[in-house]
Amino acid sequence: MAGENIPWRHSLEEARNEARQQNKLVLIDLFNPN
Amino acid sequence: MGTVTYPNPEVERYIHQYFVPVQFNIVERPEVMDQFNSTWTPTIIVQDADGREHRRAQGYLDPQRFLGELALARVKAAIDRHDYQAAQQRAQEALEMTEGDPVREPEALYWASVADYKASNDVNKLLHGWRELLNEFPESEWAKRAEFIRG
Repeated sequence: MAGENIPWRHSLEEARNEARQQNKLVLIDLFNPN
Repeated sequence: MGTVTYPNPEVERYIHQYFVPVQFNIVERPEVMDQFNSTWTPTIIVQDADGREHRRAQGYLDPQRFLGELALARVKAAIDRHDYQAAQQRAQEALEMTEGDPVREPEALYWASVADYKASNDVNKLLHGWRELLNEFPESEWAKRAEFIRG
């Protein structure tokens, strides 16, 4: 998994809910592990 | 990104402070490419909680350039929601974080000038900032976008 030190979420809705609660932006990373 | 950029401590700190990170492995979830209208990886997208996109980058970014992208995304998100005082503060941070980046520093100066103008309604602040842009980065894409002020 890319970026083990970063607590990546894997649900966009979860990330949006957290962003709304914490007044943050959502950072989306689309990656190919190969 | 996963081997150099994301392990960078400053990248980790900045993401933690200002962003909720979500990652999709496109081999496991190929449908996300269409969902986000992308055809290439890595794709980095910054949205607000309502799904409005404020910035997008494709291709590898080293830590310095990646941090510049995130800083500019924060500026643009504030401008897009008409919060020009926040945009001014974020633009100053973006100017520091993009210093020496020939692509992103001129862009930061462009948007810093826009934020100053929008926050004050004083067009002279826009012109002052854009003249600085034209003088310091005359060959940049962002200087070309401000060049019309020369008349």
